[in-house]
Amino acid sequence: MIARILLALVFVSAGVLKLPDPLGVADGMAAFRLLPVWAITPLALGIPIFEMLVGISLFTKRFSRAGALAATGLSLVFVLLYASAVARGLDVRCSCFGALEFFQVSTGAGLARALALLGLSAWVYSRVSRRGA
Amino acid sequence: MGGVLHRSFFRDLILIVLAFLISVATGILANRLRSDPLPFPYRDRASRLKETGVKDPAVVAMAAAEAAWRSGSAVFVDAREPDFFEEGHIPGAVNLPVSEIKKSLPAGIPSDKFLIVYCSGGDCEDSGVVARALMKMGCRDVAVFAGGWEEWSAAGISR
Repeated sequence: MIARILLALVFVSAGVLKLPDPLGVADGMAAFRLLPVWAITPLALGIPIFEMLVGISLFTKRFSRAGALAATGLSLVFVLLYASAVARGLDVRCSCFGALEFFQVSTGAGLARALALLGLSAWVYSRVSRRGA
Repeated sequence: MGGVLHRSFFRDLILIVLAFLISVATGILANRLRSDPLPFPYRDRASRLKETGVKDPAVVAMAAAEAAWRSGSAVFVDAREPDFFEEGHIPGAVNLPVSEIKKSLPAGIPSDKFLIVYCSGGDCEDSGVVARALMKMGCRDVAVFAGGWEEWSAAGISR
């Protein structure tokens, strides 16, 4: 229950903090040098709203399993992006939590943060899917 | 029970894809209402600065950069992120990563001196982005040292 609320708060705050700065989000995504140019604008505009939806769904009983699955999928994407940036020696300061400088950590710390989020998401998903079954 | 699990998993997947598509569509619609909409397709910092009419900065080679450093005729600006700057930089250089670019000139960077901007070297683009930003802020004499930190550190230069 506490882990699910924590995960929900992480995703809602990540989405809310990104909303006012879509250009910063787009620059952050482009810094990974993996996404095609045509995909960056739609993703930069859509991801913050999607993160908020994922977070809100984790507060509900009906959609928490889908929310936890989406959180796991998103976290896995973040891990792969950061791991590839570390492997290529890129210094990426993504606006994962908007323009707040406190959260704009180095690439290695970003990978550690993404791994922690993946672990939390997967754990919450295993709990809520067991309860649902 | 396995069948029920599979069914619920795929139902969740469909729900997630729908939520994602709705999020992207809502984001695109909201962007149209913004006073400064995000361009489609995306344009990176370098091309956005080019559009402001700022000309390309000059490029200096290793020999010219070293001569300017020895004579003290130029201020070196390191465009890499602080972690990389702290690991090593051209002595006397000022750190100004792309993420720190503001609308006005930062302290420690004089607008009336020759500025040489560098980043990692090779194909790094941040030196060009920072150089253009400095020119836009009113610095007249700005150049990029394309070899960057890689070439400088490999040369083992000391006073």
